[in-house]
Amino acid sequence: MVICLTAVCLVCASVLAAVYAVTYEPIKASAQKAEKAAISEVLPAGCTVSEAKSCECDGLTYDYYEALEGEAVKAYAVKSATNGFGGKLQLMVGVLEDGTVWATKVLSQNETPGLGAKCASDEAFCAQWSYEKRQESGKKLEVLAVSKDGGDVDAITASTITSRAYTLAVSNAVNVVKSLCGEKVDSWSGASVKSE
Amino acid sequence: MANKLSLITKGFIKDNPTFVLVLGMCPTLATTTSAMNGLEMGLATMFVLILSNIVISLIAPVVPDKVHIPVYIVVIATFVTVLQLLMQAYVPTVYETLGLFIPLIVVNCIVLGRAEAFANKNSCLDSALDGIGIGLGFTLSLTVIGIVREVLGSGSVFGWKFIAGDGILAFVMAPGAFMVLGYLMVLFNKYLKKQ
Repeated sequence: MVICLTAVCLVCASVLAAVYAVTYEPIKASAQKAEKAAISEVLPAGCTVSEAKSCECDGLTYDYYEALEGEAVKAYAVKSATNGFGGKLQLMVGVLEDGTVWATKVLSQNETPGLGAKCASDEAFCAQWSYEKRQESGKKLEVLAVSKDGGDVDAITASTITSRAYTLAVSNAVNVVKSLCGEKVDSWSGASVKSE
Repeated sequence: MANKLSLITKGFIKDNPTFVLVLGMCPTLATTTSAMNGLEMGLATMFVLILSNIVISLIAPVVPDKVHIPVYIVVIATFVTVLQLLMQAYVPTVYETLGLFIPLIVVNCIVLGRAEAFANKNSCLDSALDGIGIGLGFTLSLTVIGIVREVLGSGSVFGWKFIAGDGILAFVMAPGAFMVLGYLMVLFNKYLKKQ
């Protein structure tokens, strides 16, 4: 009885070890590819992307990437996470050096299908995060809060909590960039939208 | 030969795992938000079902009765983990949508149920055919539920949209899953009784 169970477990464990070894590289590669794609999607075209760096802002650690044009840093891609309606909502946020939101991309979300999950696909909602689309439509994005809270972000219908979480993640990312740039020129006043 | 064929076809109607045996309700309700999700979940379960049925029918004679459940569970869990790693490596987008429900195949009653009720008493070939039959039946049921929910909830089929805008949102969420499953079960049983 014991021998049988042990034998079965040993065989199963070795099968798993073999499969794990075979799939380890492809899994890592596909995760990296997804992240690379997300980074280049939220940054202006034609920039070279730096290695991953991390910094601390408001007591949280953020991973970020610098977009270099020649030697100068032009924009940042910040990985920012907040709590949405159904758990962690993780975004990649592209921010220009002056704090303008360039583009955003959902890395992972667990929002309600058909409602909050539309934060990754809803055209009107996604368009307002893109700098180029804002230029076309003339929409402003100065106060990073949903319109219900007096900001410039139009929430997804019936998904205010998700929209708030999304906006907070973007605003945190902007704060990260502001503090990064502030460190460099030592003249940052600290004026930014405070996140709750 | 007809006997072998009936092993496959019985999973569609007579022993349909969803509408007749009413097994594996958790993934049925949770993953059928769209036709594609239902189909993928069905195929993932079928993969595990066929392989675990084959292995269990082979080892059943030598496994002592007292430990047969733990042994079966270890075998099933191994195949599920293999499937999970393979999906993560080669079809990451599918893995992302099904996410949590892949590891839950381990405790899917269909897989252990077929091991207990069929694979441990039958030959390797019959068990494999049973796995294919029940697996196809499960895949078909999930796809049908997925199609109905996607048509009503999002106005599309397999991602192809034929109504602009939103559908009836309730059908994409949990209450819709119960309603669709209930009505389909009624239709299914009515048809069976007539036969």
